[in-house]
Amino acid sequence: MPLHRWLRSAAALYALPVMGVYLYLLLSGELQNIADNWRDATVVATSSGVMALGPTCAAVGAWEGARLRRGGVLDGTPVRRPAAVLLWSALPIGAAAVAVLAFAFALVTPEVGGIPGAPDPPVVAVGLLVIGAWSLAGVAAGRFLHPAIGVPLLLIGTWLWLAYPQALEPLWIRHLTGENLGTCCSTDTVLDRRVLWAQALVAAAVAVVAYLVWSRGFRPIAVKAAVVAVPAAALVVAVSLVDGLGADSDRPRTGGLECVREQGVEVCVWRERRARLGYAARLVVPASRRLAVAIGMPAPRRITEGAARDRESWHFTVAPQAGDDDVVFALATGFLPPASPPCAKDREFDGDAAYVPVGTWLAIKAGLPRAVVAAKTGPMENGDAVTRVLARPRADQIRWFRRNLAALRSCDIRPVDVE
Amino acid sequence: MPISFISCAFGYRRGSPVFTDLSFRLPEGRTVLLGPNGAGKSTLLGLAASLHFPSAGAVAYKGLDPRRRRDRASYRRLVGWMPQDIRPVPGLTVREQIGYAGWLKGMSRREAWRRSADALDAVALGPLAGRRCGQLSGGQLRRVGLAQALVHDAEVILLDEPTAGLDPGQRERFRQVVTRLGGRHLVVSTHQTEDLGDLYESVVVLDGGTVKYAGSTAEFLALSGDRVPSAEASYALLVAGEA
Repeated sequence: MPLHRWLRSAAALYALPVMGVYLYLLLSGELQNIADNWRDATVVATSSGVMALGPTCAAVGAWEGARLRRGGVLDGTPVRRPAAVLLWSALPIGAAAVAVLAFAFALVTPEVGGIPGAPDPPVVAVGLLVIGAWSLAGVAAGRFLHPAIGVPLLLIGTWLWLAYPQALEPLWIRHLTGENLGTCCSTDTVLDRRVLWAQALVAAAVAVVAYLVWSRGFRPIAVKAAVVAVPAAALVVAVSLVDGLGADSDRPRTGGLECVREQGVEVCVWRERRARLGYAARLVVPASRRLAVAIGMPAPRRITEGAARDRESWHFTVAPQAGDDDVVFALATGFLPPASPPCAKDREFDGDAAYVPVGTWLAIKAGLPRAVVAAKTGPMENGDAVTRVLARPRADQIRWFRRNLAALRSCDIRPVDVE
Repeated sequence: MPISFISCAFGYRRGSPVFTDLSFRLPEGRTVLLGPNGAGKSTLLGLAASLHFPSAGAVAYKGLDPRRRRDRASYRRLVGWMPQDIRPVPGLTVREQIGYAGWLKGMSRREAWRRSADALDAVALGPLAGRRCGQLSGGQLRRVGLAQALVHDAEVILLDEPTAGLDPGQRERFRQVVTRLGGRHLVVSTHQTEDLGDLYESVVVLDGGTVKYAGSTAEFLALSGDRVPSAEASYALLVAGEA
């Protein structure tokens, strides 16, 4: 029978607009937050796709499975193998999923327009695998359940599996479902591939169980054993992969920098931002020399958006819409720790009080006017403290800076002269 | 008829066998399978169709044993089966249903679609090709079932109670369709014994899981002895154990 004839009666065809609208609703709130890289765009599109399509495709699968059951397809004497029948039934669902996922990429593409790169194929493949596995599970369940039970059960059950682990601890549980890629990726991070492997394993186990149940029913002891053993084994391996990852599925990016030499200093930005490399270099090199004098360090030999691994490398960022002041401010505040030290979870941490004064002092020393800095840091209750520090001799200012920088990194050191 | 039952044993439940040691060969040409309710007619056709597999012994056709996985697909390509209960896939039109059945029987999608038109013509359902199966009458649905059995051009067609529940007009139409099926081996299980001589060349009578009679229709009709040859009378005598 021609494909279009098969598609004509497929429930996926009628569910397609629902899938599209649901995906649009999920995705539209995320579009503005997409970072300027294709990894984030891929993850946002795929995660939204999995969340919108996984439950719907499972429910549609349950409907299709019930249709085949009512048609007695596997109760007759078919020549086709059960796998072929299953895949042929799931084909319209898969086609709908691909179409709606393509729609998701059509929505995110303008948000990353002009940035070099392309969607990350493994992320898309795992997303489709997750959707496909739940579609097959739906078809298999439909063989045994009346659609009045099977369709809502698969819709709600799959939705819970994809969404609910986000609220559970340990935090890495969320990495098993296929939905939690959304924490990746800013431009300086990449997706931890262990997360992809874990999700692929769990999805593959779901697909294997679906096929076994579809083709052989629940009765054979081997199937009963496999229904327990296959997911259990997949979970054990998957958990061993993601155990200890925490809530985020990303890790620091190590490659993908493009560099230029400016006045003897190597300046590097992420590949996606290479169009702004020359512009950034002309700004940060003079600013870095001013800062080096202020903080009593040698001028850097390398200024990079990547990790600054030694004293001769400094870190900065040049966001897509950043102006001159933003670039210099990013270079200056690059000395500040990105987060409170781990000890702050359990102990009293006073270093926070030094964050804004030190940042302000650094930005001013990098060459930014005080008013510009104030516009970026907001009204400062302790602005007088910075004014007093700026009035001191250079050596005192360096001591103040170093002491407070240490206070920002430790629970044992109190900040000084910040109020 | 090439399908052979070799010392077949089969039961749906342990301890209540339908067949314990069934050995016989279905006749060639058109055969009618008669027997009272519970005689094992549907089970016999189910075994012949490879819907069930014997717990002992074997069913064979042209050297193919459907219980062996490597033979099963080839065997099923050669045998068409129409169950008592025709269950079309919801949402499909008549032609789509037949085309899907052909695909399930191993035909390519294109070939199955092409052959579905021929099968519908064979059962005089061509004008209803675009209608949903759910909108068909019982008699039309039976003809859909027959078209499903015919679509892959099987050598052996097994029809399980094809006219049960049909009114006389529908039965007559079905009879005309069956009359047109030439060049294949046909086995039809039924309770209707009228017009046997016109339709079938051989008769098999099954009762209590054993074959009471297997032979030509003429000989079967002659079993009624001095009385006017009557299928009803011959059948009654056989089942009563008097023939």
